[in-house]
Amino acid sequence: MFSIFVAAARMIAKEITLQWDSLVVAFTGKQIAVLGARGAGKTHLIKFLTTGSIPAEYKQTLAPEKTIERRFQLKELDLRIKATLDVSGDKAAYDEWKELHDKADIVIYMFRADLLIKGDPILEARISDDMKHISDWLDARKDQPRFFLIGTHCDLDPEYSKINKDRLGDYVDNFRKLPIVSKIIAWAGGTKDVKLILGSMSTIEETEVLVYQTFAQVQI
Amino acid sequence: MTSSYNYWAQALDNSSPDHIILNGKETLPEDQKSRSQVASQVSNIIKKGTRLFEGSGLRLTVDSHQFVIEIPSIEVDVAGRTAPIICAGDFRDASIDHIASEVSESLLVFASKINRTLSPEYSELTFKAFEVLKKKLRTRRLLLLTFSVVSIALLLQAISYLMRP
Repeated sequence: MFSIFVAAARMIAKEITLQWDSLVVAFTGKQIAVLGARGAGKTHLIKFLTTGSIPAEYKQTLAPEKTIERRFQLKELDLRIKATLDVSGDKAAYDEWKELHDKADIVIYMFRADLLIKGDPILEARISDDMKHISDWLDARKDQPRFFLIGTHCDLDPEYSKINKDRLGDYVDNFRKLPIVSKIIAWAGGTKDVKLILGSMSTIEETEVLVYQTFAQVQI
Repeated sequence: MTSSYNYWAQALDNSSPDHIILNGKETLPEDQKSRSQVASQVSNIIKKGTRLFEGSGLRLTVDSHQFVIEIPSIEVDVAGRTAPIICAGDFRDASIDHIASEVSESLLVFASKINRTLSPEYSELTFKAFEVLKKKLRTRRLLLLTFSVVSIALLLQAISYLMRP
């Protein structure tokens, strides 16, 4: 009986490993563009993707920061992220954004989910401007990149802190119903092509969860 | 501030427009063309250039003829992040010592204009950083001169050989 249990457990583990391996294949050697307004978490995510660690100190990003191609491990995942650029979140950097976007296999647009939930009009206007530009760039491309919307700082939303993480799907569904979110998804290409992930990056553990949720959304 | 250099600082509240000065004039938030010009200049120097000096948060990056210097202000933004100020320009038109002096002074003026403060240590660090650029340019000139002299010597020798009876 015990041996049957062990065999079943091994089969499940192998299934999970195979899924991760498929994800590795999907993401190996990919060019990633990380875009978003100021303070959304771009530098934090790029640092984690390229080094496996989060910044010890934080600095506003004005002058772009170059990254080199790096290999890093996230649990069973073994990734190779191509060199990219961490760019300013100001609108003045839209030309740099476009250049990154046009070369990318994967485009990640990040925003403060907690502020959208509060209905911050300044952020809504800013995201609208960003997404209109990005929408034009997407339309101009023959080869469409994989597009991810990542909403950060959910730990600052009291509702997020209360929910059981098994109910995260309901939280995301409610977020999708916000009028601005529907527009963002439409600009990015629609629900079929755009993956929405919500979470927090306040600790390295939560960053790992967010990154895993992002990669797990890929259709293999 | 001089009209030779451009300046950039992000707003501390992370939602107001960044402070961007092009050719000595403050750009309006709706002047996307001018503001992009500064952002693109900075970006191109970083992408094509080399980091020559880094210390206490000050960074000097140069390409073939332009520089970007980044200095942290004492103030931090609403998220508690270091808030740097940038100056970018061309270093071909004046002596490096003169540029270092102008940049150091003009950054203080720009910082004051946007209610930010630079620690006094950065004035000396700015000169130190540009000293590295000065040495690099001196070495480059010396190598060029040496190459020219050797080339001329070889050419003269070749001519002398060919003109032998």
